[in-house]
Amino acid sequence: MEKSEFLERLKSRLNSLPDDEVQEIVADYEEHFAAGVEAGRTEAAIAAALGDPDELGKQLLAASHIENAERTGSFSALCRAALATLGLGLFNFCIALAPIVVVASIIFAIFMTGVSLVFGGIVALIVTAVPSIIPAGMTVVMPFETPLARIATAVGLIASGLLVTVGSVYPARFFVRAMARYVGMNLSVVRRAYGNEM
Amino acid sequence: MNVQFKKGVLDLCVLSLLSRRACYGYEIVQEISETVEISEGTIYPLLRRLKKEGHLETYIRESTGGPPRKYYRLTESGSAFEHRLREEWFSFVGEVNRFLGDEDERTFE
Repeated sequence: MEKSEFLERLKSRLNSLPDDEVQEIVADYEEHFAAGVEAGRTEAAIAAALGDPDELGKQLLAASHIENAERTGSFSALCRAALATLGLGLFNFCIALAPIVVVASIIFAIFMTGVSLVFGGIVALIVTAVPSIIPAGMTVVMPFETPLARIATAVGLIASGLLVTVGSVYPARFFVRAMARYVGMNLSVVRRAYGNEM
Repeated sequence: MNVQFKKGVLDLCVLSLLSRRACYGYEIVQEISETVEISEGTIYPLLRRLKKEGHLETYIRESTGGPPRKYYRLTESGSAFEHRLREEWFSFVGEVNRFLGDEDERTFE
């Protein structure tokens, strides 16, 4: 395999990474080839010693996505990391899927509870302020008779809803970071399984 | 050499090399692959990771008659990390050696 083929195959594995990161990675290997040729080796010999560019690309891809998920705590970054790691042939992740789904659902439920409280509070506020907005044939049941008590209830709903919503963001971030670390751990297990391919 | 042994010590070997002098990528790969038999390409992901973790920094230096090269050197945190890994390595090897020594005595009794 010549240098151009090695770099092309590596690049094609990295297409979901940001351009500047791909360029950095490719530049490192280009410099390696240049230094090797200068030392009197052939491109084919250098490529052979570097190893399989497809395996290398998969490893670089998974490592980059995991690092990204750990740094940002973003759920979509975590999904990309999990996918990239699954591309390496992992079973551990599937076994852990059930508890992961349960914890994610609980966090999501808390988040939705907060959103619903805020929504309910806003509706209560509008209905109290503009009772004529209620469509004909629809009955809105509200506790308390006086408008003041109703508005206080609505504001209370919105405030507690916001609290719950914002509060759910912290366990969510923590969860995503912990998952990213878990995926990273699996990656190091795979590295071993791949032997020389790290 | 056993694959799992290699993985564990690769970080330490790279850090130890760079604690002695700054090197460019190709140099690091050659030095390490003389001692540890690995796919040479895997050194670069390792260098990227150590750099992202703040243990290494890079700078560009002109080479004589060739294109400029990217050199790697240890940061303060990298130096501390190297010391910690080194200590862990020697205490681990010591414990294993003691254990293996005991085993040998038992076998040859």
